[in-house]
Amino acid sequence: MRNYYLYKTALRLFITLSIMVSLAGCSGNTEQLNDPDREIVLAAARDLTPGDKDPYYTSSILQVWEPLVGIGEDGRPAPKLAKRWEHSSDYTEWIFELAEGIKFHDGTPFNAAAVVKNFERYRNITPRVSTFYLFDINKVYPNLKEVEAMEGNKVKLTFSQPFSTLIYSMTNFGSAMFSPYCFDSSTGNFSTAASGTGPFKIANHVAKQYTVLERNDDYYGGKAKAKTIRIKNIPNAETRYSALKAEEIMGVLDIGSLTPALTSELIKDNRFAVAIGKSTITHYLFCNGEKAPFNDPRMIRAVSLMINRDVLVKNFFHGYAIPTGNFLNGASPFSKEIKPRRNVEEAKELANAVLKGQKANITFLLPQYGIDRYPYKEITEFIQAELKELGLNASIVIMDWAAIQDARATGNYDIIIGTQGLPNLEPAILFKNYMKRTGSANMQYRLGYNNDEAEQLLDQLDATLEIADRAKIYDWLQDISVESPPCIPLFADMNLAVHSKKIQNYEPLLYGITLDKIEWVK
Amino acid sequence: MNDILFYLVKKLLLIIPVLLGITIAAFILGVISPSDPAAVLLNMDGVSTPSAQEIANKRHELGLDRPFIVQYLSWLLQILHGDLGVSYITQRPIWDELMLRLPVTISLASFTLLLVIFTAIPMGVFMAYKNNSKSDFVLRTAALIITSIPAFWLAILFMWIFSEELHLLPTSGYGTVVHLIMPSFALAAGTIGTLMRLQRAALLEVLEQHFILTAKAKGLPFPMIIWKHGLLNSLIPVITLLGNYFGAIISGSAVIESIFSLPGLGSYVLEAIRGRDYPAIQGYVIFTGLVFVLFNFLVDISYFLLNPKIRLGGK
Amino acid sequence: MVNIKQLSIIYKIAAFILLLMLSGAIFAPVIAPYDPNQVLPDETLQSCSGAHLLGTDALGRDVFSRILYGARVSIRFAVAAALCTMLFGVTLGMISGYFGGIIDTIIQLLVNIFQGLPGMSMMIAIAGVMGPSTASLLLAVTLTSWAGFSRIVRGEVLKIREENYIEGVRSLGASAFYILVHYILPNIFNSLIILFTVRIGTVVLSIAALSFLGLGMQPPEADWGVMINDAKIYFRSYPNLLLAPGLCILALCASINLIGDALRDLFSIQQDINKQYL
Repeated sequence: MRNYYLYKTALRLFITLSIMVSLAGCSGNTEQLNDPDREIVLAAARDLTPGDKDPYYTSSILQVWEPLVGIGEDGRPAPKLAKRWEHSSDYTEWIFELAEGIKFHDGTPFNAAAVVKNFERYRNITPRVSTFYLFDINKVYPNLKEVEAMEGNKVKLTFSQPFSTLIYSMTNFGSAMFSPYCFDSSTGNFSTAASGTGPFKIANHVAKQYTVLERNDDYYGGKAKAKTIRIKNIPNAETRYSALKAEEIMGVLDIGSLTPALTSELIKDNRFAVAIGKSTITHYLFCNGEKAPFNDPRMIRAVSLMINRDVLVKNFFHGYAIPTGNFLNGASPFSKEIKPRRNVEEAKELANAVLKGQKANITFLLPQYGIDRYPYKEITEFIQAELKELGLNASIVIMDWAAIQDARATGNYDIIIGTQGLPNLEPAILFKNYMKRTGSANMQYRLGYNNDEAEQLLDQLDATLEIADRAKIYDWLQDISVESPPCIPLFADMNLAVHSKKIQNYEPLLYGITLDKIEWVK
Repeated sequence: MNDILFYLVKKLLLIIPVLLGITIAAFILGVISPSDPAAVLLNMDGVSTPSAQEIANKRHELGLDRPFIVQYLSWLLQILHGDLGVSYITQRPIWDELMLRLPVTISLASFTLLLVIFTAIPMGVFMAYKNNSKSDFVLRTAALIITSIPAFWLAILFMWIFSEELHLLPTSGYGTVVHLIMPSFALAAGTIGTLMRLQRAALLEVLEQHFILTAKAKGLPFPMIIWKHGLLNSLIPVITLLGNYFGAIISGSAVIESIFSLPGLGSYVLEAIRGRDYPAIQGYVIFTGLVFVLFNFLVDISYFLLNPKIRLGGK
Repeated sequence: MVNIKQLSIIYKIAAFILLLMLSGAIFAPVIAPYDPNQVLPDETLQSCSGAHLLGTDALGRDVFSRILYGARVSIRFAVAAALCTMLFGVTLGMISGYFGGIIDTIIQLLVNIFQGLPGMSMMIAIAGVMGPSTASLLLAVTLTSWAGFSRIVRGEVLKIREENYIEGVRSLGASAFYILVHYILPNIFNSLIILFTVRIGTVVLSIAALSFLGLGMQPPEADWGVMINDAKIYFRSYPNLLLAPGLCILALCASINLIGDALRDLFSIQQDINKQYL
């Protein structure tokens, strides 16, 4: 007891230090609680502003830039910066009439000359990788010959081949417009922060930490409600949950914003709510059709009949997904509803016919992103148990996406669970990728899909220019995909907009949320 | 003085093969990897599906079609010029990326280190002072137990209790010292335990030495002896451990950084692994290796500052 | 003064816990009430009850059974990894210390290089780059930890080599291999046992961390790290999912560390501070 003083001195020092630390932290929080203009903090899993080398600088969901053609509420292309358009009867010439009186954030007027400059940039950056969508002008605007500014604020695109679905191809990321003064015209890299026409401007950005958006008070349309929004970058899903719960953030956005399980856990707490919307993403099982047992199409059908999609959706998606039997995602305006069929007896018979009473060992690949964003681990383990009843002993291997690509290259797998988004609202590319013999996804996933009827229809599609005629072909293709599926559709994803009830009008869009509408509840 | 200089020069020279070895290890990491970065790069959005020709072009563009030894040498030459290459994913120089994240990890590591020093050393001294008493025994056991807590588990518990339930500390982000409290505690726990025991043992050993016995005989109060003679002399093994540990945090904070969403070096390498961003992974290994080696060197130097008698001959 | 009996009580507790865990792991197939991987969609996320001692997880699997089998996975791997590390480190350390000269220089250079590589980040990089598998995990753990082992062993060998009786045996014409195995190895055996014990504890922790990052064990094989990872989403409503595996790791490592400590006392290595954190 006598001489503790050394220990005590150290202890005192430590306590003093701790107090100093806590004081330093508390001093920052002196915001006024009822100011409607106070900053709204949201979070996303990735840095939504990749910056100067990215083809788009920032994600479209931050509403900094706008495209010529957007997506309407019905999922169809809708006018945005282009007011209206028309095409020549052979679909080689398209004329876009631009909206009037619009200025970029830096004050530069948006006009035909600016559009031409942006198309020059498209050419200079092609191809450019991105965490959003790879940009390649030859894919978005195939056979584009010329872009010219015309009288009366119009722009003419001339193609060497007819391109009837141009409008679908141009939506959102396909026709982002930036001020010609914010990028280097030769490299296409941004030289300042991106300056678009949208309701928000980028006020500040710290890579990997946050982006601060400020309302564009000169916006031509309905101005944004919130004055400033800070989008934090929180890569870890559980941490986003904790941050919501601690009310550090008011909502989450972007893909994988909050997993279904965490969402249903969170809204048990009355302070939070979720708004649900359509998503362009479908979850599939891709089967290696180049080797046994999935080289027999009956086995694919057996698996599809065996899987209890309803239980999977109920237990693991907590209801935030729709069981589907349709290859084509419901967000496409050409999609129709096809309910999945389940019949265990039939499944077992089919499997038995293929395996002849034997058991087969198969490899089931599970991509890491599916664990970060969706309940894939639980789902694969559940399916693993179901497959066992069919005589398939599946071993699950969790892999990064990159490793899955390697496995696809070597063919060293039997099933991959994964997502496929609609690359485009016009599903031609999707159908071709999966259902043509030479389709890229068909080859990469080694689906071994080989259907003469589909082949013929897809060839016919190239010659069919009228949208109504194409719709008929899509209809037909969907029916074929049920009869003989290229892969097994499981569920259609839903966009979940999870938020605190302290803010309102937080609604999901097909891509993103209604960022310009959100505001504090008064 | 010459001896010291000679020793330091020798140590410095030894660093060169070590650094070279690190570059080789980093390069091998890229080579043994089974995936093709060109394909990964072209399919980053998960929607595009590149053709074989596109992949071949990209491989050529990235120089991946050259023999390994050529790739290594040109890469080494590049590094010697201070150029770690360009990240496949962000298209930025890796050096810039690392510099962007270094301050985060450095401040996390420094804060953790402070925490360790201010808890473990006093407790170690206390344990030595109360040697073989009940409190010594309890603390020794406690020290062993806290070294056995998985840091990531502790981190989850912290976040649950202090952020979600008590709303006391921020879950994530970087900016103020407050943001560092939970991650640092989670990181520090293990080392606090180790260091407590080390400090205790080191001090006890010093206290048995001749000059301490002399001091005791002179009738100096025991705490005074600990303070004046014991503590400083016992710090050498402690500093070794701390030096190694600082390097280890810089390299090993990945799990904690990922849980608390700290944009430091650790989250960077996890991101790079996910994206098969080889240049980034390699750059990270080289960079952390360099920091590690540097700190070990600093530890060597600090030996002399503390006690120039130590190292003159022998191991 | 604390008496020896008091001290030994805690060691006894540790030994008891360790024994309990070992036998749980060994006899898991006998003790476990359920198949650890059996999916029961109607019994998901139950709390503790007579039927399920520690409740069930999101797939309806029995947590108690998974803990038992998890012990098997964790301990088996940790022992294997510690053995690999030791074999590699001890062999190189003995060779380096005994023969000296150019071999010693080369091995010491390797040791320096490998000690210069940051451990955890190398483990993450190796497991991440090679893809998660038991082999790549073993490689990752061994490569990042043999160097420390071999340095300690070399130091010991250097000391013993100079002893007179070794000199004597050598003059009788004993081969280097014979001397290493029959004279040097037994002399460093005590230190090796401690190193080995403590190493197991460290491996359990690092593998749990890798599993937590998704770079460790692959399903359906689940160690405790994987269980914690799986619990991340559900633990707020079902804390047993998080607490059970976490406390198991804690108890296992703590008892291993305590026993390592007891061994140090037993072999009276405690006093030598350079071996304090063997």
